[in-house]
Amino acid sequence: MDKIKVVHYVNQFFGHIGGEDQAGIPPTVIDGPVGVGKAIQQESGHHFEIVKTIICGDNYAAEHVDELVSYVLSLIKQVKPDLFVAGPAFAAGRYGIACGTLCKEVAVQLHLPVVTAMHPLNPGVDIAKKYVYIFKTGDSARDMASAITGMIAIANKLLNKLPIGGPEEEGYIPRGIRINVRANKRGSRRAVDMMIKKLNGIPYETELPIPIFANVSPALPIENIKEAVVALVTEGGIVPKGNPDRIEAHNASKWCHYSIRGLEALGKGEYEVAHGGYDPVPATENPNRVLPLDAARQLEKEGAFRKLYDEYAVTVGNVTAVSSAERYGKEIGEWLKSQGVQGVILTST
Amino acid sequence: MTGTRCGATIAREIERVGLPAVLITAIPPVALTVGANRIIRGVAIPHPVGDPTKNSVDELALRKRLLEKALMALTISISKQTLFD
Repeated sequence: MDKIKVVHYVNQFFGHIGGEDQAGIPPTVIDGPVGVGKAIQQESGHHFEIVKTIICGDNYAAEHVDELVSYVLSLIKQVKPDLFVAGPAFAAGRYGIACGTLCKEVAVQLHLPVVTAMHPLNPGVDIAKKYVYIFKTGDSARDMASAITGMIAIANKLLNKLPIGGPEEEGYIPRGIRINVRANKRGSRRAVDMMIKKLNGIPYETELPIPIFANVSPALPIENIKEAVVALVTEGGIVPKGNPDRIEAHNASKWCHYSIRGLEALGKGEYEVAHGGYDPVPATENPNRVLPLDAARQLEKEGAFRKLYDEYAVTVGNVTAVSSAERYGKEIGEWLKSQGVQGVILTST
Repeated sequence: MTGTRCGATIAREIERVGLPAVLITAIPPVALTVGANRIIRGVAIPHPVGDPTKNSVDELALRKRLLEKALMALTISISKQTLFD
């Protein structure tokens, strides 16, 4: 059996050049394997032969990613390996970004089989997971043995063009790709089975995992609401007619704020629904159904609170990335706080 | 659903800054999963604070009741996520 020619990418640490003090070194290439590469060769039963090892400092890789990519692509074009392996990077962020970027570019531009391995929270994951298989590891090199076996298993399937199963089965990080599979039981049966297990406290495997979000300790309440300034916020996309700042109908890239000073209510025809994720008819007819200005104004007049803040904040939450929503929340919160607002009423669709 | 995921995330992050924020949503379970601290059950997804089947007087009264509840939620000291039902 012919040996599989491999090019391997490692950082300065795994390349045995040095630690953080050597993180600025530009890429260099040496013949044969180094450290981890030797273990990969051995674990593959010497079926894989690492012909070249590329070593680059983490800082250089992070700061000069384009140069690194062209360096690696041109080397691979010369060497013509059968496989490109990067890492494993575990939870190391700069290293993971380098491994992820290189794997993606080599796979997309050169159509070569590639594999890497890292921890699911490594920032390199989001760069590469859509394009390549990333074997899932623990957060440190203690998980080296499993990372190496896992990468070899995936590489062998890619090289032999064998079907690769789901992420749980093969141990890679989910790529966000949906594949139709034939189940033994119909959906209703599976749902009822899961429900019965759940009610009986028996472990079950969901078909649609919901991400877990980190909670925040509740803020202190408003002590004297009658003296408080309160602001309105919505993700429901209620914007002035014409959507002047062009908030996107889905996955909005921004939040905006508009004056409601002196307004008693949001008038029909003066505001519109920029949100693409719900039936806009009721709120087009009466925008106060999503942004309750009319009722807030009446309560302000009745003295339920001292003042409604003069502007409201708005974005569109339709399939908006959680990371964007987190940023908007932080920015809106800091802005309102700096304006002397003491409490926020937010509506969502 | 992604609307409330976004709204609840915003509410959570506003609370992190130190301002109490109450979320009115028709899907409290999503708001609880995402981590909003103060939650009021709204009317429906396309009109969380309205009801097109009511006449305008009754609808405004409904909206005021929801906001009164929301204002109350801003004044209560809580130690964990709370749905003010």
